[in-house]
Amino acid sequence: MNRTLSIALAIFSISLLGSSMRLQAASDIKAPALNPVRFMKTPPGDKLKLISNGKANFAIVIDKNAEAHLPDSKRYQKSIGVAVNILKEAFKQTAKVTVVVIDASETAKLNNYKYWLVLGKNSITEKLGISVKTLPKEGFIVKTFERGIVIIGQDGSTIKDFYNKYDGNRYRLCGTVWATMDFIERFLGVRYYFPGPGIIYPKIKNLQITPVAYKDWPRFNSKRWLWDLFGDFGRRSEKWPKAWGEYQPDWQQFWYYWRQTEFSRLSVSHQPQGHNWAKVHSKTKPYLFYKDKYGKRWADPNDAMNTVFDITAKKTAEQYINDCLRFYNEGWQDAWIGSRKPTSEAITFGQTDKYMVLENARSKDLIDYSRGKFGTMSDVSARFYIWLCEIAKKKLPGKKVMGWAYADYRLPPLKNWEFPDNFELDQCNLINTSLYGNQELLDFDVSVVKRWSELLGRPVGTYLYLSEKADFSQIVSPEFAQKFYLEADKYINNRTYYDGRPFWGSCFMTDYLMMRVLWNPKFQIKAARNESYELLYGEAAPYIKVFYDTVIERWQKYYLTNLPKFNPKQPSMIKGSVSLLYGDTFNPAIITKFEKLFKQAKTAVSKGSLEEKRLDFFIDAWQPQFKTAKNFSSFSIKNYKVNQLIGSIKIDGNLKDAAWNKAKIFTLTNALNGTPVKYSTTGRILWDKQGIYFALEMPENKPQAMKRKAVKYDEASYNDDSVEIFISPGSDKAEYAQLCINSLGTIADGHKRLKPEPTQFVSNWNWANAQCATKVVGNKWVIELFLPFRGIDKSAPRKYSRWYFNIIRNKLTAPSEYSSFSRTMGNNHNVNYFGRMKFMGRSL
Amino acid sequence: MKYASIITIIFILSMIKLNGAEVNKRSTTWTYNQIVCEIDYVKISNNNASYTLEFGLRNQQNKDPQYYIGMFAPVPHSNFRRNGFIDVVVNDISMRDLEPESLKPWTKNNAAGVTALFNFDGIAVKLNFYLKDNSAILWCNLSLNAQQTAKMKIAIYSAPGHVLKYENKYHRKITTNTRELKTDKQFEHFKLTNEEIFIFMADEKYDAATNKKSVGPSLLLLGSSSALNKATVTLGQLFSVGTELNFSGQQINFNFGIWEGHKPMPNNAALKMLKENLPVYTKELNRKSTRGGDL
Repeated sequence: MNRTLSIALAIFSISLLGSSMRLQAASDIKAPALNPVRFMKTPPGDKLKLISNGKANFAIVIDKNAEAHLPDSKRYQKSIGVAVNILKEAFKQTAKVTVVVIDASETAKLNNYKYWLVLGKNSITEKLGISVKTLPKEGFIVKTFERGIVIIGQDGSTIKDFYNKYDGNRYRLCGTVWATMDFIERFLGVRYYFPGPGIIYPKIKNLQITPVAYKDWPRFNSKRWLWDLFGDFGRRSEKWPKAWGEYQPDWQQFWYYWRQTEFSRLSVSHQPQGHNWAKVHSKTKPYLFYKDKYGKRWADPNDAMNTVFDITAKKTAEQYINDCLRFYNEGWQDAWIGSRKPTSEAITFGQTDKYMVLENARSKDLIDYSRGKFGTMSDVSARFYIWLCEIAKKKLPGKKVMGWAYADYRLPPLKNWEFPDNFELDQCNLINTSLYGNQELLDFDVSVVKRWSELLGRPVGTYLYLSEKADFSQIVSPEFAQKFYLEADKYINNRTYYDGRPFWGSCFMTDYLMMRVLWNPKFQIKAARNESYELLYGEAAPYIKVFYDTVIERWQKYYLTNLPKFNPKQPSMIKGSVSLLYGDTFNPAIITKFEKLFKQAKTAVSKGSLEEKRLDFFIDAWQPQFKTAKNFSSFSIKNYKVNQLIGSIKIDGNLKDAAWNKAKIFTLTNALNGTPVKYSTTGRILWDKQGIYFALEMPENKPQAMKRKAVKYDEASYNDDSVEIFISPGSDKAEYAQLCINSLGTIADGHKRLKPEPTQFVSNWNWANAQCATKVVGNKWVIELFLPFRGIDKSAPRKYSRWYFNIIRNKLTAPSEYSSFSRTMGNNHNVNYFGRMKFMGRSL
Repeated sequence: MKYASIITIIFILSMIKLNGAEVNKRSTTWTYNQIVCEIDYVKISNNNASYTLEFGLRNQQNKDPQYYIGMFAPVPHSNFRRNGFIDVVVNDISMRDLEPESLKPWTKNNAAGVTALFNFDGIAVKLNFYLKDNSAILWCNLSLNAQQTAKMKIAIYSAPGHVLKYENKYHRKITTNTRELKTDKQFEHFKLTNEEIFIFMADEKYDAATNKKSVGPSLLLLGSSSALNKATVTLGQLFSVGTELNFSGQQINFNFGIWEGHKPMPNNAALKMLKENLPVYTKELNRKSTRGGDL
């Protein structure tokens, strides 16, 4: 043979060998990127040639009647049926074979197939003596035998009356599905990274399985991201990407692909629903709701955020237990409409989602301000749960009382309360998971969960907050979550959740890895990451790897080493500054590097290829984060010179006082990017020794259509067409006040302290002696406002000193606009984005 | 012949112009380590000297902006430094908290300069920096106009020779027209007499005669004013030599001059050269006002 041809053939062969090796690597059953399972003694027998030259030599064998008893309302609890569909789809996509499904009793049909892929419990598994009964919850077994392979797990669907009427759809025992998922990943090499093109189906022409047996079960039985994974498609009305037109929008299947489930009848949430309970009880039993020192009763039938249960009173516990009794005895559900409800095993009580110190005669001895924001109410909450448990023991024997440690009752109480044995707790971690690379912070959260478990005498559930909104922080979270679970292992029971991440497009690997870690905290994250790059992006893999590696390295090296000091005695939700995040860690030079990497990645993939499709989606998903980073770098504080008031101003909304002519005029621009808006508000500010004067004019194309629901002081004017004024006195940003004013002149004001320790935002605070007048005049509305310095307990500032401030307009009428003096970056309350007002002296 | 005379006259006039001073202003924004500086550079030059003043507003995260007047050239990091060499405080209001109402370059006859006008709560203070003829001294006239008696403090700083210590110690020395001042203390204040108008600042170890790292010495010339109550100079183990002048009055007019070498000059040579010109300097120090560039 010609020498050149020989060389060409050799290269061709090597490449063929390489691609088949890649296939084999994907089905390497002990690949480190797979869940580490528990291998058992190898069964006897020969290799099973399930697929030869593209032809299936097997059938799927099930008990077709196993799940027939499940009513339609419980169809979500099916397991074997689900497993069959997933398995058939996997073989269709990888080997292009349509697999037949046969009932285990159909002997004649069975004999048509050399091999059987036996799914779930049936007469064959019984004959073989393969049982999953004694395995831990959700356990499964995968085991070859001479005629095939058994894939079987604990299935609630095969047990009569396993599910009851109180079980939600996500309470499911579907071990066979988990076994199937493991089989598909381990033997077919499929990877489910994200819906549509994010599922990797290797091409299979031949499938041969060497005798093997293993079992596995998850560390956690309630394991999920709090919200709907990929629910972005539904919740944010996001459409299936056009470029993915040929794929089925099958994101809900990822509940199964990622083994997400809530296999526990114990869970926490804000129960009863705040506004529902107010609807039911506020008129006849107002004492169930907290009354503050200003006389406001926090009971709002329309707004859970305006409702606070009075947990300082035992009567509240008594009423809730009575309501639960009605639930069980009569099916009464008014307190839980649209929310989770009591289950057959437990009732749940969770305060509404507010930080509020419930101070009164009953609680004052238990409130502890010295612990900072997250422990102030811990002892009050503990006492309330104990009341609940004691009453529940008598009236709801056998039921657990689920509580949680959250908001200002997050930290364990300092007192050694004796919690009854019917109390169970889920605790919400204080520190963001992405910061657990800092050992001090990790140690702190481990110590908290440890203390809770000591108080209860048993492990507790745990709730992780992955991070703030920055996508970069999500990348590192799985490794750090792993650290936490491993170090806190003996203090945590079988329940865990995680929360807090942005759009999955940029962070799908976070979810993929988190679900692996929740299955087995010893999962090899790095191996899974490394495997994913080439599978997803082909030739672009090296660039994407550098991207991820850089993010992780910089996070560890810069962000985690420059966090503010943490005070464990008054712990806070510590986080680095925005300037640390975007000024140092992911500064413009790094963003430029990332953009270059993505460009290089794009040139490495073939046009129109699947890799390009995935890459485009990934790169697009990162653009908002890059934009935020660049926006930060381009952000500079806006300054405004507040001239001195010469003469006087009458606060009447007319803006006719001559004194206003001496004020400099400013305009509001797009609050997110600083570009001009069509209906731009103009403003003027003056000051004197008494206070600050504002004149704001808001052009309005539809004055009659403006939303003006808030009519009484402190009603939610921020939900109306409104203007928000933020003032932070001094130059140290230690505190700020917010006033929100609608066109009726309704003010909702509040205050928050930031230093020395952040406190909750106090909405029942008011800027004393403020004067405000509003008017709607033709196609505009105006605000004339006077804020006395004394109203915020300040004396007149020194001339030429500076305070921080911002003014934001919420124009709700179409076209809606969100404009501000200083760009808010999407968070009106972030003082780091306030502008500066300088109190000028006399003019020359 | 007639035309030759005209040409000659034009040539001579142009030469006279060339022997005068020039001024040039440009604005820029400079960012470093999260600090953003909005700067006006004003270059004033003549045949013998060129100074670039830096009028800047320094914006730093989590700090109030600070205004400063620095000297970018000839030596940015030593002597009269670029990050600020002069502070003016009127009635407890610091120039650092203000921005100039105006900053105007000007040329007139053989002089060129820049006038910065500050408003200290209704009190106008002008700083007029200029070069004149072929003098290497950057002159400054400071005037204050108030309705009532005002208190003004001017502080001028220089880090002569080098900003760094020599073997863990500064060796600053001042030579006035009447005495030498130096100290072993951490810092020491020396009250200046009315006669001491010549403040020559040097470092004995960072002397260009013996040390290649030296940038040379610097000079401060002080005029007189009936409003001047007290003048002190402070030196020791401090980064800079600081001269503080305290005034009170309704109308204050004060002249001063500064010099730093464009090439590292040995201390003795610089001192000799500058002392020889003291009569010329004294004349300028005693001028009532520059008249050039006034707004």
